[in-house]
Parts: sequence; structure tokens; C-alpha cells
Amino acid sequence: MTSLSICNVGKQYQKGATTLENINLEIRSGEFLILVGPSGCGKSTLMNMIAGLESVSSGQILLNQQDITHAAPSQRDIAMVFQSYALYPNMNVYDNIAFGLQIRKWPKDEIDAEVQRVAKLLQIDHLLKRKPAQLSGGQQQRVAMGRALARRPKVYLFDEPLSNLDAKLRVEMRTEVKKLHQRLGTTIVYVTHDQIEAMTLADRIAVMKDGVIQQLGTPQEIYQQPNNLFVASFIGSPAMNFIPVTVQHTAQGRFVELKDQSGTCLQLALPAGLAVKTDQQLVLGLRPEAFSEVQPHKLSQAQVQQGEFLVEMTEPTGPDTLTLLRINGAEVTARVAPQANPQAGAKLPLMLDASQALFFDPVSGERLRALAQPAAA
Amino acid sequence: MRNAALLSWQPRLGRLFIYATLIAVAALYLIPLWVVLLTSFKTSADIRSGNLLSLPDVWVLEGWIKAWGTACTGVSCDGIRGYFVNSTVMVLPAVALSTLLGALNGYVLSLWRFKGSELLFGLLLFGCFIPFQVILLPMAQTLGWLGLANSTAGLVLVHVIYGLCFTTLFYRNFYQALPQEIIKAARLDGAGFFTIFWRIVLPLSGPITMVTLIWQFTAIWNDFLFGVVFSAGDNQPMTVALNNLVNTTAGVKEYNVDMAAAVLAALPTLLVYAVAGKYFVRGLTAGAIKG
Ligand SMILES: Nc1ncnc2c1ncn2[C@@H]1O[C@H](COP(=O)(O)OP(=O)(O)OP(=O)(O)O)[C@@H](O)[C@H]1O
Ligand SMILES: [Mg+2]
Repeated sequence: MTSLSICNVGKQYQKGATTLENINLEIRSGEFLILVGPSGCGKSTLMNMIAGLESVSSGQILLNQQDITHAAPSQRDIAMVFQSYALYPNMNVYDNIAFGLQIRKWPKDEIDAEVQRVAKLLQIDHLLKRKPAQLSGGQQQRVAMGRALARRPKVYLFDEPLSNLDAKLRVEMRTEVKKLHQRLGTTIVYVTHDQIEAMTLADRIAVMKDGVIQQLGTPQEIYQQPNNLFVASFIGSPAMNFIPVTVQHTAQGRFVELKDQSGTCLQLALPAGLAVKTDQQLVLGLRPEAFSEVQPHKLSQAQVQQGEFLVEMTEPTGPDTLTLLRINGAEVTARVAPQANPQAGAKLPLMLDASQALFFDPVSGERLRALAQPAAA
Repeated sequence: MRNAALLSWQPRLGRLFIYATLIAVAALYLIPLWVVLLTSFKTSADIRSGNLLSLPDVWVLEGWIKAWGTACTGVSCDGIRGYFVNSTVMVLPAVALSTLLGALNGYVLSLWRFKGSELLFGLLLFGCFIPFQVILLPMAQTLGWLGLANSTAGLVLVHVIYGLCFTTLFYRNFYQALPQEIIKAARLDGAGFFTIFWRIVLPLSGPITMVTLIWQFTAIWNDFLFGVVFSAGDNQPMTVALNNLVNTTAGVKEYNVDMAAAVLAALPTLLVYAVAGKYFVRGLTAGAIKG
């Protein structure tokens, strides 16, 4: 059982400039936790602090309830895989994997057995004699992982391990990492820029911005219930659509209007219990898949309606054609089946499924949550 | 047809011109060496009668033998043999120590940065630009305090200190290109400061070590000023002895002996360039990690 707790951790490289602020993370044994966030938000800094390569300015790091905040990297039993692989160029693959074991004074035959085991696991046993410069990027990647696996550490840290690989190899290695995690049940903290990597690999995702964790949750939670505009826009590709709306009100209840340039106007009822006032400005968040070609069998569902929209531009991706609309002045992407044949400049009948609609406060960026649902009368 | 012929001729003509110029310039540069070598194999009579550039009438080793074993350098008349040994005994530890310390300095300054390490490097760099003459007096004073005045150890110390600026600069810039992450990985593997240095960083330093060794060897072997100021009598290096030999005139000037001694004094550095010169260029242009 290996749990890693990061409690109120902060980092200041220079006085007054805060890089990380009050980071709190509980990483459970065997969990695959992914840190995502834009460049410079402090992901690598946090990883280096967990590894002991960077000092901790405030807070505590606990490994199995033991305080390791100020322990030397070698005493933490944590291994790390770097973006540049950081293989020792002067050593062959065997020695790269064996180095940490030699330092720890393992007996020779045990080292040998361990290197063989790891090499088999990662299918690099035929490369043991080669120098890193004689390996392809993918092979170097495997060796770097092998080096981390060899010590059987308690926690693995991966700092953008796949970002130097080409697109195809990246997808392959992604699957491999996932398999490895399932097979070995190791505890992993993994940094990536790539939100698809984050969605596919993670048990939980922590989205960071400017040194602060914006949201921590399962991939589904992060995707469907983002805490704020930043998380909503960061996760998902193409990004969520944000449409400015104004709260209106009739006898039937409160609603917002979606107006197309061609005059189409749809009315969207606000969820009950949403603490908003009439005339308040809101940002409506709708994923591209909320707009689709009309599927008659779904039209009977609540919150589903249809209308004709003017298409500004189309971007075929193969399975879907991303179709650009303009609603309330904002650019909106719809995910439409190619069969619907969207044409730029023409009107297209579309179906809007508002069941996953989100509302954000335009000033704070926070998502507005419906208060306790009133019991159906 | 004609055009094609012209096209292939023009670059060849250009080539020819370039080579001719290069050969002419090289010849011009080599004339002094030519004169020195020829003169060293001539007899005194031959030198007086003949042309500077002409071949010897008879090839003799007289000048070489005398320069090595019996020529007078000031009061003693044992040739430059002993001073050759002096220089060797002084150069080897001075080169080894300044190179090793430079590597360690460079390692710290580029891979184990600390507060003020850039400033320290700046100050060290400044040392490269201090003229030799400026430090003579303070250095003499210091050597006196340390009880190392006029000793080989003292001279070694001076060369190590003065050479450190250059060796540190070389290694620091070379190590700058090493990814910091390699050091991080090694630390996570449990390696300490010196283990990382010996097992990872130093084995990668081949090219720059060649450069530093050649640079330091040439500089220290050829040094005259420190040698003449900080050593005396039997401890003097080769360069000082050569000067004494040339300036000790009892009667007729023996140019063949002077020239032979000069070649002997220059031989080790010439040899180093001949054997390792290509590593010098290669090392200066090489990065730590082959791409
Ligand atoms: N040694 C350092 N000294 C001072 N500031 C630093 C240092 N290392 C990083 N920083 C700063 O800390 C912030 C976070 O850097 P960090 O490398 O953790 O970002 P990151 O999230 O890993 O970015 P990326 O996705 O580009 O790798 C950046 O603004 C960076 O400039
Ligand atoms: Mg980073």
C-alpha cells in the first residue's frame, strides 16, 4: 500500500513570486493521477518537489504517512521518467537500467536478474548492449521507463514522457503505459499537455493553472462538470462553446435565448434552482456534440429541440464534420455527421440537446450550480 | 557543349587559385622553421659562409649534441638536458591539476548551480583577462609566505591558479550543453555529487578534455615569464634555459647550437599538435552528446 499525500504545498523560487500555492492532493495506492495545465503552470515544479529535486517552500509531502518533505531524493523510493528521457549517454542500455541498483549495492546476480526482468517486460532485451544514441525515440522511451521500473519504487513520476514522440508512436506508447499500469498496479503521477492522454490514462485528473489546482476529479467529472471556465475550455477538443446569454423570464419560468444570424431563435429553459436574477448576464457552455444533425427519435426527449442555423464554415475530420455557427455573436462549433452535408453559407437544420448545458458566471468564471432541486410538484 | 565545359572549368580554376594561394602562404609561414632546422644541422663554418636558406654542405649533429649535453646556460655547462626534465616534471602535474580542477569547477558551475554561482563564474572569467605582469609581485609575495618560492611546486601552483580560469571556462561551457535532467535522473538513482562526476559527467568529457590538455600543455610548456620570475637556478624550466643558452656568448655565436636547442624546446608542443591537433578542433566544435 503506497499513498502519497501532498498537503498545503507551496513553492516560491524567488521572494514574492509564487509558483505553486496551497497544493493539496491525496494520491491513493495504485492510482494513476494526471496533472494537466498550460505551460508554465508549475507541473514540473510540483513533480520535482515530490521527487526531492526541488526544495519545498511550505507544506508537507507524506509517503505512506511518513514525512518526506525534506528527505534526499535517493531516500524517497520514487522514480521519475523525464521528457528528454535523460538516459546516461556514456552507458549502454544494460548499465542505464542497472546504474541505480549498482549505487544501491545490490548483489551482481540480482542486478542481472532485475535488468533481464525489466528488459523482457518492455521488450528491449535485444537492445541491452546498445548506447542510447543508437536507439530510436520510442526505444529510448522504453529504456527510460525500464530504469524507473528496475528499482521497484513506491511511486512513479512521469513528466511529459511521450511528448517527444511522433503522433503514432505516442498513441502506441500511451496504450503501453496504460497496460503496464494495469498489470503492475503501481502508483503513478503523470504530467501531460495532451488532454486526450489525460482523459484516456487517468483515474483522476488535476487541472492546474498558475500554480493553483482548479479541479481534481475523474475524467468524466472534469469533462461534464468543470468547476470553471478555465477547466471547461482546457479539457475537450474541440473546446467547449461559450455563448453569452441574458436571463429572461415569463410566466412559464426563466429561460435564455439563442439567436442565430438568420433569425432562428431557440429558447432554453434554465434548470430549476439556479441562483440567477432576471436580466443577469451568463455564459452558457455547450460541448460541440450538443449540436448535431437532427435525429428524429431523440426529438421527443426533454431539453432537445431543433432549429435552422446558418453555417459559416465546415471542417471535415472524418467521422464528424465540425460546423461553425454564430450564436448570440459567439462562434460555436457543432459536431455534425458528414451525411447531413453541411455547406458554408447555407442553412442547416440542427438539433440541440441542452441536457448537458452548463452556466458560468462571466465575471468570476465559476460554474453556477443548481441548488437543491425542488421536489417535483 | 561549350557552356558545359566552361561551367566545369570555372570552379576548377577557382580551386587552383585557392590552392596556390594557400600553398604560398603556408610556405611563407614555414620558412622560419626551415631555416631553424637547416641551421641546426650545419657546422659553424658552413653557417658563416653559406646562404640562410641553403642546404647544409655536410649534415652534422654537432649542434644538437652540444645543445642537449654540454652547452653553457649561464654558469653551468651541462646543456639543456636537465631543464628539459625540469619542464616535464613541472608541466605534467600542472596540466593534470588545472584540468581536473577546471572540470570540477565547470561541473559545479553548470550542473549544481547555487546562489551567486553565475557571479563566481563571471569573476573566474575575469581572471582570463588579467595580464601576467600584474600578478607577478603579489604572487611572489604569496609564494614566499607559503614557503614555495623558487621551487617547482611553487611554479606548478602558479600555473594551476592561472590556468584555472581557462579550464573552468572550457568545461563549464561544455557541461552547459548537458541536459540538467541527466543529473536529476542520477540523483534519483541514488548517486551523489562525486559519483555523478566520475561515472557520468567525466566519461562524457573526452572532447573538451583533449582541448583543455592541449591548451594547458602548450601554454605551460611555452611559458617564459612565470618561469623566469618564480624559479631559480637548477629549477628553471626549458624556456628560461633556452634564453640563457642563447644569451651566454663565450666568443663566437654558435647558431647551430641555438637552433637545435630551440627545436628541442619546441618539440613537445609540436608533437602534441601533430598527434592530437585534430582532437583540438573536434573538441572545440563537439557537444557533450552526439545527436
Ligand atoms: N529554477 C527556477 N528558478 C526560477 N523560476 C523557475 C525555475 N524553474 C521553473 N521556474 C518557473 O516556475 C514556473 C513553473 O515552471 P514549471 O517548469 O513547473 O512549468 P510546467 O508546468 O512544467 O511547464 P511546461 O508544461 O512548459 O513544462 C514557470 O513560470 C517557470 O518560469
Ligand atoms: Mg514541465
